Amino acid sequence: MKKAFGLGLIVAIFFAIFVLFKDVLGASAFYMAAVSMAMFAVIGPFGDYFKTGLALLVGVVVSLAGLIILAQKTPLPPENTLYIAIVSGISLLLLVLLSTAGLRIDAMFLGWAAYLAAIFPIYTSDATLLQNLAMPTAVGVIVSLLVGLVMSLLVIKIAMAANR
Amino acid sequence: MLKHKKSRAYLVLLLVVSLMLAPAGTSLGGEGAGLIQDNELVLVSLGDDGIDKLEVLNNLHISGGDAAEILDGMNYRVTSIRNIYGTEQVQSKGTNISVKASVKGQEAFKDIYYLAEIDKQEISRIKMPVEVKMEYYLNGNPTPPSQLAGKSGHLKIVCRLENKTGQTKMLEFTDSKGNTMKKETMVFTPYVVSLSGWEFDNKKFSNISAPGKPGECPEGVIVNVKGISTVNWSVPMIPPKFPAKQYTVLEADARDIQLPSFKIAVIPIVPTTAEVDNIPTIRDSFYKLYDGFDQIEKGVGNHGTDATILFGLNAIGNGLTQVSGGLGTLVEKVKMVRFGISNPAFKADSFNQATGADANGATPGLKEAVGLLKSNVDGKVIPALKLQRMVLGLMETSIGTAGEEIQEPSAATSLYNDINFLKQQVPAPQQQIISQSIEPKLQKMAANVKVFQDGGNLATATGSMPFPANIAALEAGSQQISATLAKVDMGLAVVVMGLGQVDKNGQPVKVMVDGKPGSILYALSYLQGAIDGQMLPGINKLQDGAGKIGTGAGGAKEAIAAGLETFESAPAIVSALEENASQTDSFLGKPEGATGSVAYVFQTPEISKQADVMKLGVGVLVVALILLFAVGRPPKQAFEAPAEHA
Repeated sequence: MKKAFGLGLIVAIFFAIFVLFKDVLGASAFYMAAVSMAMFAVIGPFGDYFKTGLALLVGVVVSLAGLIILAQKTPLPPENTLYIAIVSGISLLLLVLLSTAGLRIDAMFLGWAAYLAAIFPIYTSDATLLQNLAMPTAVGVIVSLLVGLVMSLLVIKIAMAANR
Repeated sequence: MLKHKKSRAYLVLLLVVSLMLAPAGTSLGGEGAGLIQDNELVLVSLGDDGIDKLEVLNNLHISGGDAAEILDGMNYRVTSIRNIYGTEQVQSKGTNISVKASVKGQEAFKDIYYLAEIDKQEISRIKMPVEVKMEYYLNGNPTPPSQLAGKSGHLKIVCRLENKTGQTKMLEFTDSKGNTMKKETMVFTPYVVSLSGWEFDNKKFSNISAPGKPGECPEGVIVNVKGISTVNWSVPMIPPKFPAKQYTVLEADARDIQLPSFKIAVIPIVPTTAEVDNIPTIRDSFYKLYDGFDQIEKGVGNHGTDATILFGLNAIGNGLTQVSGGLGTLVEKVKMVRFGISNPAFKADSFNQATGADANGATPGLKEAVGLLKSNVDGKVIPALKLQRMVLGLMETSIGTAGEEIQEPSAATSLYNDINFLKQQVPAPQQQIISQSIEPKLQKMAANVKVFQDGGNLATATGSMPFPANIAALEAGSQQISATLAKVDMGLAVVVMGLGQVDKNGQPVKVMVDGKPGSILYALSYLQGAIDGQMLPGINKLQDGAGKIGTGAGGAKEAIAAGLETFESAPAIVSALEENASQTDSFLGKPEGATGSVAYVFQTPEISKQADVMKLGVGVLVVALILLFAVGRPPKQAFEAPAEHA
């Protein structure tokens, strides 16, 4: 119990520190770390967290590519729903296809959705800002997700330690 | 059948709509496009060394018309063109930008927005109507914005603005008297620069100020809301009312500097304000001022115009010159009087009575003559009279008196003694002659000698008569003359002193008594000196000063006249400004026949630590992946579930 408490404390402090330094890391969507942790805590002690992390990264990259296409090659909001739909559809199709290569579909979707959640309000309000914000936001989002994934790994380790 | 009816109905409807729109269609231009409004927004991205990037956001507002190709202007080479809100084809075509547009169905108008990026090589030849230059200073040192991120210290941001559209134009207007006037003046295209929404986080910036300086730098308005200080400036660059060259200043104490990109909007416009128009009142005041200066100029006048200051001063100057000349003559004459009264060169010791001059030939003045006279009276007349008295005394003694004791006659005995002795020696008849004839005569002679000596009645053959010219009286008179001459000498000395001394150069010797000239000669010389040395130069300076007042008044009149002309030409200038503003309707170009508008937005570089954040974020990302790679992979013997069930 003491060990569990200790490891739990480490997770809590780790998360608090992450939140504290979210601006330094550019992780404005820091809450995605909690989502990531919640989602992947179920992977279990024998799950492949590294591959999940890669899947998150792929999801964010696909989302970033879609956004770049939307911003550069298609009409900008507000009257561009059709193009968003097309780009989103193709992105998800691509993710599904990639899942056949062994990448976790849920992690890729989470990465894709997390990036869009962080960047889409900017895209709709002032697309010109994307020039400076698209990449940093992508890095911030993937950092949040990976931190969440690492913490889910810690949680599993805590659970195993507690059960032992 | 029903289908046939519907087709016919659509056909009828189409015909009706075509007929309704036919007039509008024919009025919308030959190429099928309707009325076009071309609104341009020139986006200028500033960097460390001026303009980094130049883009034009073009809005074509098309009212009505058929599907058509619109050829928009392209004054500068572009590297990319993109329709940002629509799907209409936009591409460069020769020296134009081709836009395929049409107003469909029930639409009354269509807006097409495209963004064109100007070739960077073109930037150097582009002359912006308003030059915007940003200067950043950290702790007083010029610092490029790219090196400011994360720094702390006193930050100063100077935005220098210059309206460069000035062109010389000949304006025609009507003055207050109804005359048609022409005036060559520099007319600018009016621009208003708005620096708005410059936000500063109060956690990073304190003591924020945006000071102003009249005629150069407008003061910024600072609003502090919820921890953000927002600074705004509005800078009208509309000569002649506002300078063509201005600047804004922002100062703050900064910590860990991070700033967003600030926007500087430049818009061609003649702003209508609620300012109270004081020009009529000022113009009336200027007219009165002009009249005042006109009267001053006329009052000052010139040397030849009667009843003017310069004429009067000239007359005073001439009068004073004459007074000075008269005083010079007076001084010379007084000198002559002075030398007539007393000649300081005369030496009485060497006076020669025969020549009437001294050994050096100097003649005596009145005072010296009086001295000589007194000297003669004292030295010659009075002693001579004394000797005469002595001689008369001796004669009286020689005559003797009747009652004397008779002695034998000798050289020492008197005539009476000798006569009386003789009388005793002669007989009676001779005694009778002596008693009756010689003794009375002797007595009379003795009496007359006494009278001659001391005064009284002189016995004569016919009786007696008073004899005032006796020796005693003459002596007393001589002494009185001497005393009087002494007084005359003293009086003349005082006169000489009053007239004043003259030095060896013949100039009056300076004598001051109680701060005032102490002699007539010096007073006259002093007066002449005052006239020549002070009054005449003073009058000359007064003339110069009055001349300058006249010239100044004339200059002021001209300036006021120019000012009045400016007031009178103000409506013409405003019209020219408005005309310039209306003509400034395009930057990149516009379709033929289209109306246009243009505005400029300069964007300052963003100052942030984004690159550092990115690096750190990527670092964390890599660490997380390594960590996951190290401890997040399943054991090799573990069962690997399918991805969708993991």
